[in-house]
Amino acid sequence: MRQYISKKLLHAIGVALVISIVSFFLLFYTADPATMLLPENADDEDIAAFNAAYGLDRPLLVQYADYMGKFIGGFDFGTSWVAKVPASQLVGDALWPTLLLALVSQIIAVGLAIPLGIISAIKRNSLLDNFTTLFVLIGQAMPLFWLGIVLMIVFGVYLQWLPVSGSGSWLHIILPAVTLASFVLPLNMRLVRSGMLEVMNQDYIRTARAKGVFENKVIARHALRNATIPLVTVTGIQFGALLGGAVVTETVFSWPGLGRLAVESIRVGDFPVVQAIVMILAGFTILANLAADIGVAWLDPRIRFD
Amino acid sequence: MAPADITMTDKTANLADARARRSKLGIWMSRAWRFRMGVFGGLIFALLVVMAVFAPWIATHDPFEQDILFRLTPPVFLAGGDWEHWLGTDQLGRDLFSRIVYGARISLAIGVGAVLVAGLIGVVMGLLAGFFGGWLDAIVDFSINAMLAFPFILLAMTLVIVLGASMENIILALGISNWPIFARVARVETKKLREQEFVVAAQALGYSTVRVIFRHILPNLTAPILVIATVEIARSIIRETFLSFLGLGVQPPTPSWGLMLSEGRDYILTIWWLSTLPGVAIFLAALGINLTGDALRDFFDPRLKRR
Amino acid sequence: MKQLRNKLAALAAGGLALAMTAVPALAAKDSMTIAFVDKFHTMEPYQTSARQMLQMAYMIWDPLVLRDPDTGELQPHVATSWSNPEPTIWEFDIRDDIVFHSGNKLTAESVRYTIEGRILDPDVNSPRLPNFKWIKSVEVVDDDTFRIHTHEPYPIALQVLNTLYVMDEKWAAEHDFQYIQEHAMGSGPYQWVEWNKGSNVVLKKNPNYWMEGVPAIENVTIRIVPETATRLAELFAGSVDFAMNLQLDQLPSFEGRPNYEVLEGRIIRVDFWQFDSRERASESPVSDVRVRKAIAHAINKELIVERLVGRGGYRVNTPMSPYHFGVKEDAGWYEYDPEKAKQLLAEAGYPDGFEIDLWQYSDHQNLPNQAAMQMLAKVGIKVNLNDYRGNTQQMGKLRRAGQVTGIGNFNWGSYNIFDADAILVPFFDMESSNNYAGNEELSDILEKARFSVDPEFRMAQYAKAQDIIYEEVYWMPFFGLVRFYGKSVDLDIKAGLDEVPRFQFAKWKN
Repeated sequence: MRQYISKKLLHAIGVALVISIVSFFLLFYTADPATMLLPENADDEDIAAFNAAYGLDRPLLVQYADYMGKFIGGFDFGTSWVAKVPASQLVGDALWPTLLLALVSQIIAVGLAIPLGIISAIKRNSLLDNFTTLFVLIGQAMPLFWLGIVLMIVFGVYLQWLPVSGSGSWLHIILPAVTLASFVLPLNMRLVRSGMLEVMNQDYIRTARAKGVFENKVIARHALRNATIPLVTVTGIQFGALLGGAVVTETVFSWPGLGRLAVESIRVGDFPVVQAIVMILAGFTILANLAADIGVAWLDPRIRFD
Repeated sequence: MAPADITMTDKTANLADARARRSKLGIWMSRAWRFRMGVFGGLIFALLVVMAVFAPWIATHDPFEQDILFRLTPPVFLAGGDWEHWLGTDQLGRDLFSRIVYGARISLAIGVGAVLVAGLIGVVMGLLAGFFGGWLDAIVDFSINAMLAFPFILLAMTLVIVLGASMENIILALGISNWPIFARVARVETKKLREQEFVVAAQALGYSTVRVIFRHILPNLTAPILVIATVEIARSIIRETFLSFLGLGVQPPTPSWGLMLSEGRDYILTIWWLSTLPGVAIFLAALGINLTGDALRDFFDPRLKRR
Repeated sequence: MKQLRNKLAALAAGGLALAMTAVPALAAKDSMTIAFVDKFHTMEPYQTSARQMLQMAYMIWDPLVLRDPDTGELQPHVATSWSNPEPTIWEFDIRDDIVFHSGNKLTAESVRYTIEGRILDPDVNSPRLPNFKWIKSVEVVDDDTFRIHTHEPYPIALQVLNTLYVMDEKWAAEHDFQYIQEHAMGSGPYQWVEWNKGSNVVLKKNPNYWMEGVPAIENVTIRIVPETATRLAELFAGSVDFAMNLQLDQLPSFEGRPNYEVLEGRIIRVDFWQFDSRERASESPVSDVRVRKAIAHAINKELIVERLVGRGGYRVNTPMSPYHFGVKEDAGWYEYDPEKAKQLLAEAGYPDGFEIDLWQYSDHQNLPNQAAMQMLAKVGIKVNLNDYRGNTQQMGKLRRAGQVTGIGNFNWGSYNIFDADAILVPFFDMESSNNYAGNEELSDILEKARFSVDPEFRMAQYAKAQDIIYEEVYWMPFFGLVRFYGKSVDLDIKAGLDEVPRFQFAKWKN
């Protein structure tokens, strides 16, 4: 087991390293904060001075070494070029709102996915199954920002039941969470459905059925528990994928999260922040994968020798 | 799964027996139904292709022709509409219907293009990794995990920024960001296939590696890859709308649905047709393609064949 | 560790905030909520060049001089009078009754500290330095008088001082750099209360403000709403009283909503097409002046302005707005005449037209360019669009690197300096990296005008410069921009030519 874990750990570190290198070079190669930050009337001298102050006139490798040094030293991602505060602070501030949004979205998505998935699995291929599949596919087929704006107009402007955007109260999270939930709902539902189907065909279920155990109890006790395991593992890993939806949702709903920060930072070319976001997200995903791998190996010893 | 489970179903207690009889009829009906979903999806897919191929004949106007004096006329079913432009005109007076029709080309090109790029890279890498194993496998597996850990949207954004936002580059960016999905499936399937009897037999008979790959492995990869490919086409089309939202999608004046959707989103309160009609087009296209993919998956799923 | 603590605190605070349920009610009459487009990166005005700071700054700080929103004229504000005893010395008298929100008095020393300590000091790396580097030093004569010594005679000094917000030097001495980035201390009509990064800034009335009756509204909240559709929705939902920067085609949604109306603000930002006349980026047909003239003739600028720019938008014939100092009154222009355009093209050797690049980076979709492209297509010129909307910084880099081939579409706000120098020098000075014209004579004229303090002389020079630009068609001036703001009908407020609505003077009508 120890061997397995250390192997996976090394793997994870390697992945993280590669990601940091690739994104660094990609971003810093195109970096030009001077144009964004200095006033329109700045001339070449001013720009050169500015670049020198940020160390951007050094060769890329030197900049990378410097960057990694700071990072390994104390998770210092450098200072934001735009905001003069540590990039980690900006990312940290934006992380919680996104986590919250992701959490609520997942709760809604999972909350809907489980019943829908169960119905879909039990009444497999029935009309009901098809309609739920269709309903769920709506989220996947509909452009997220369009859905968000329509929800905002209907519930915020016309009905005025909910606030349009922002992040002041419980009510503010509803619309963005629902919008984002539609993004992850299809996958979740499919997982529950296929998990259920797989389990429902297992021998021990048939045995239980054969013994005359009441159908619903069968489902609830045995099938459900097993069907939701893949769902749980995926939820953690989905965080990185969720960002794609978060980018749009947070911009539309003025939610001060990581997605919005990422887009704004890329636009202004505030690359220390972008790099920080990339690394933190990658880190999350890698950790989630690692935890999943280890967890699965712990549960199923055969995998350790893969 | 052996035929044993069917007989078992038949031979078990009354409850199961009654269920089996009921479900036989149910199976037949549901197969037709499932067929229906897939057929429905397939029809839409076909319609999409038709629209794309025959655009010049279906469209009523040149999608680039502007007429500023007639900008923002509504569709016929609203007040002020005109059959001349039966779905209305956009902000530069261009006919919306024609732009939507031509937009099918763009969306299809992007969807299929991105999948071709991703599929080519992914299948090759996955197949080679799965077949040869060893250090090649380790590297490919590593790369797949690395890329999957990288937030997709950031990668695509950065690539488009670095390369510039042209249609080719967008296809490239979407494709490159997506090859791991294909590689992963190809790798796992190849590994499975390699252990299968017919492959082992072929190798024992002394067939060359190339032949084994092309005649035994590759054809059997088609099914799973095809399923993934259809779904990814729809996903790529949707992803282009994300890029358009950020200003990094297909550039004006090209009639891309994603661009129209994005440009029109500020006006959903009044000139809603600018954004909604292309949105409906995207929705139907993605829906149709997804349903087709689902149907294909069910079609190829060995478990389902039993029932 | 501190970071971790901060994060936990933020989480707790966030949780607490969420626990309070309240849909924001219609804005009460003692408060005003404004929706800005972009978020703030700092609370210090000299550590950012972003426009949103400009738009907020007049509420929290007092500048030396303030612009009349309608005419653009500079009026005394902190400075009561000024003079130019020598070409390189500007002397100012300031008010003696201004007190910062901290209680400290605003004196000449405050001004000196602001300029020397927060802008000129190389250690602070102020991005606003380029605007102020003409200042050599600031001399405090007494509490209410100071002198600015410049390196060279600098005629537009006053224009720049319009954005000199005076900071509290005693307060600054008590706090470190980081603190100053996150807290604002000024002497203006509003006191800074708090900044929720990415979400909003809260301000409240300064009870001791020196101007009578200002401000009229007790509380101000500035919310950050980046998405245009959302901004409008917020306005119509009643949670915002003033929405910045709306789009032309959103204006019809105000019909049938009598509680809201549109405020148009014409601004000095002008949109123009720059030609790579000296073939700096690549060989190009536009190196021939006849081709440039043809392009100018081929585009129906008036129709475009009328239909696509909207109410308040205006066509410009000059390479600057009518409000810039030095603008030529009776400038010539190239009429819409596609036949003439084709003729000129044929003369220049392009009877069948040609292909050319057009670069743009507007912050929203650019309808005028698209219409213009279509018109050019009609005379045979096929235009390839390069849009850097998602990546505006790259555009600037390319422009400076001399890689903008063919035609570059830019708009220039002149950084709120209503002077020809601010718009012509960056593009026509031989030493500027934005120069695609390569005209030495023009560059010399601009140099002379820049360092003279004689307004008549300068006007004459700029008139000459504009003639050259017109003859050579280095630019095709396109139109002057107009900003559309949405507001509650009961809010009485003016928009400024300088793109800054006068929030501090706003009041509720009933």
